[in-house]
Amino acid sequence: MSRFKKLSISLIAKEIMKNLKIMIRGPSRTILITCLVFPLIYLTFMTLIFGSINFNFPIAVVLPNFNTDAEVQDALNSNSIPNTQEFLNYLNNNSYVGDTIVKSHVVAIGSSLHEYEDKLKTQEISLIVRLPSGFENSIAQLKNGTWSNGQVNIELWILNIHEDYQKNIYFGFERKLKAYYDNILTNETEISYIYRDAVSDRNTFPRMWTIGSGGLVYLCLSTSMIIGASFIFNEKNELMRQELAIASIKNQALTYTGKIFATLLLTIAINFTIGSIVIFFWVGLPMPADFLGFILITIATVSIGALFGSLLGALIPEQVFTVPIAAFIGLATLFLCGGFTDIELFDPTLRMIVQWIPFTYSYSIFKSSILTGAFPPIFYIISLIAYIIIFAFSGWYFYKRFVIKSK
Amino acid sequence: MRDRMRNQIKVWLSNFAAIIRKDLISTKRVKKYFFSAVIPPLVILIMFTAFLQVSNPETYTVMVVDEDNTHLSGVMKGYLGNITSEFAPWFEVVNVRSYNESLKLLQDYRYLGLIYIPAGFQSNITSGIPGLKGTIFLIVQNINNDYVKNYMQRLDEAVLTFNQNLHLSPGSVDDFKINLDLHYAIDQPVSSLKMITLGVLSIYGIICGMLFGALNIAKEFEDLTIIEIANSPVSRTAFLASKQLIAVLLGGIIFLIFAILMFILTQIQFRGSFLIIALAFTLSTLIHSGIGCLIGLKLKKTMPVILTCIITSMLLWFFSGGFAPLKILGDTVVFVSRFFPSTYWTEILVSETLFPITSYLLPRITILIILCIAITLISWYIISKEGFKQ
Repeated sequence: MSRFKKLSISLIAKEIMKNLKIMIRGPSRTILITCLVFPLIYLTFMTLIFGSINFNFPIAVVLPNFNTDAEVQDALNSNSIPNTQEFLNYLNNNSYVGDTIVKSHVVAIGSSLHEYEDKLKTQEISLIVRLPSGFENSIAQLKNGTWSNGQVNIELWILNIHEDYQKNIYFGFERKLKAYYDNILTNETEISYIYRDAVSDRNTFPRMWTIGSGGLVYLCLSTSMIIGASFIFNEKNELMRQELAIASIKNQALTYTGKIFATLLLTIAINFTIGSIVIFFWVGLPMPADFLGFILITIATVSIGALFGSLLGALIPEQVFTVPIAAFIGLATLFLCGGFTDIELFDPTLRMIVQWIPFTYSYSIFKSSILTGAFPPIFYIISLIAYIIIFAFSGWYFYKRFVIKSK
Repeated sequence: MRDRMRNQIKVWLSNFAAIIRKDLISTKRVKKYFFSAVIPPLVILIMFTAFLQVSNPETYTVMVVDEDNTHLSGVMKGYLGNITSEFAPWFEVVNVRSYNESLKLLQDYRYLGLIYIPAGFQSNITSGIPGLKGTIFLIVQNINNDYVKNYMQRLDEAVLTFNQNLHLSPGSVDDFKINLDLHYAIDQPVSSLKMITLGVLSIYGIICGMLFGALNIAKEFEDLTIIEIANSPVSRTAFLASKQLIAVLLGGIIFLIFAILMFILTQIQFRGSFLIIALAFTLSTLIHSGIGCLIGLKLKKTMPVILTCIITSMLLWFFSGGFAPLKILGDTVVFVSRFFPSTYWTEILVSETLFPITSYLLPRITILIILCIAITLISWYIISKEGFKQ
């Protein structure tokens, strides 16, 4: 190996060691922890929300034809209202929407709506079902074919404290009611529907797998952006800047390269490793079939983040702002580039627009390497490499312009 | 004796005012201190409203192929197009002429869901044969289970609506024997935007206290002014009380401005008492400023303090129901949330805004008062003991 090459490698290695030492020993190690904590907070949020999508909602049932709660209990215990009891059983039983379980449980049965109204607002219960006075007799008549006229109006009071929560309760109750119709009132219903997968030989992945794998890309991107930017800030120290300003272009370029490699090392060795262990176990993601390919894709993803981070580091005036800015850009990419919802599910126009965002390819390739193991389209790989080259040159340009040459 | 006491109080108040003035000047001078408390909640607001809207739509587009072309298939299509939540239609229906064409559009990801009404739909319903029903098909791009579930639940609604209305006499829709009437607990529609807004306002009651409390202490260490204070006759209590009061003052201004702006923009109708919200905010800010002062004492540098306070506030906000109703997050989160003062603050803010109930409010205010006294005394004790060591 020529002396020139040896010197270059030695310079890069020294630069890497310098930055790693500053990061691990100095006060900026908070940044390292922040980088790990932010994506894990995100994942905790999403896991609890989408992982607990089978949440169990409490119901209160009101039977107004009884005077007291004790009378209601007596009637249920003595089995004198079997049709009502059967309806309550349907509310307590689990039902399914695809592979999602809809759970609910009747926590209170009483005679007056009033006693549950405040409990509904304070979220102790999620739904009040008031069965009409003639419910028991009407269902009995429906079953033995002696129905004459009239209508059974079941009234629902829904906790509308949150749009999604409200939707889940309403849909959940409808699922129960549909099951009741299909089994008890089978001759009274007019239509039913059958569900089919559009692609029958493809697995329908759990939503959490999309969120988990997307979360890992977000972790790689935001971490490498923040660390990449903070390494540039190490150089904004006046003394270092003066030394760099009189160094040759080659040494300046090697310093810059060293920072990118240091970012790669730190992100992959600490944040990616810890993040992967947590996410794979927590979300139950399958292990990638092609492990080498997975690592290469990780390196490419971290590289694009590190280079973009160096751009941020050169352009942002204060180090403390890099964390929220990088976290925000990371989150924006997460939602827009298919980390939260697969881009195939986007509106076609939006899908076309997000194809131009550089990070979309990182998300697509990374996710497919875990979920399907399929080799990504060659266009995606070329685009990802092209963006890495663009960010490398622009990062280097801004580093020279705003870090080395600035006063 | 009385004059001596009066003088002592005067000196205390003068010290107290001087430190407040000093901290206000430094907050005005260094903008990052102020914006660190203002920006994170706004980022959350933008992120969860804009990005979730883009990537998680409320209205699902579905192709409908009607090969029956009868009165009843038309009724079914009407239900599909008209079913709606309080906030948005469930389906946006795109009529496609042939089944094969729709399958092609489905395979190309042009559309992601297809409802197919085959020929014979009406004749099955009107055949009079027990158990023979009109059958329709739902075909969905099965990318993830959440999307599939959303299509199925929406179609559930349309099928139930059809089954709850008797259509056997052509041209009319008679009431079926079992019907559903819907009511809501809260007398105004609570959209995701409104809930996120309340969540963001609840973070201000956490982050302002914590961040300003922590920064005001950390700045003293970073600028080495703590040594001057330690050697000066400034009362320790005046010093600590000023740190907390400044958090309440600055936080109160930020909260007030954003509360007014957001309530107007999101059209939240306020039902409760402003005084109770002000009291709860003050208590919450005092509690969190006490915690913040301890963070500042421990870290002593402004940058780690800012990052730690933002992360801690986010976690507290999440575990106290600001992000989503605690019930949706499971029993463990509900249990954990009871240990955080921010839970009681968030609950008071939400309930006073949407459904004020005195019996719900009183225990929560009492808990906040007790926590405020306890945390303030603990933080004062620790800082007096540890903070002025040289």
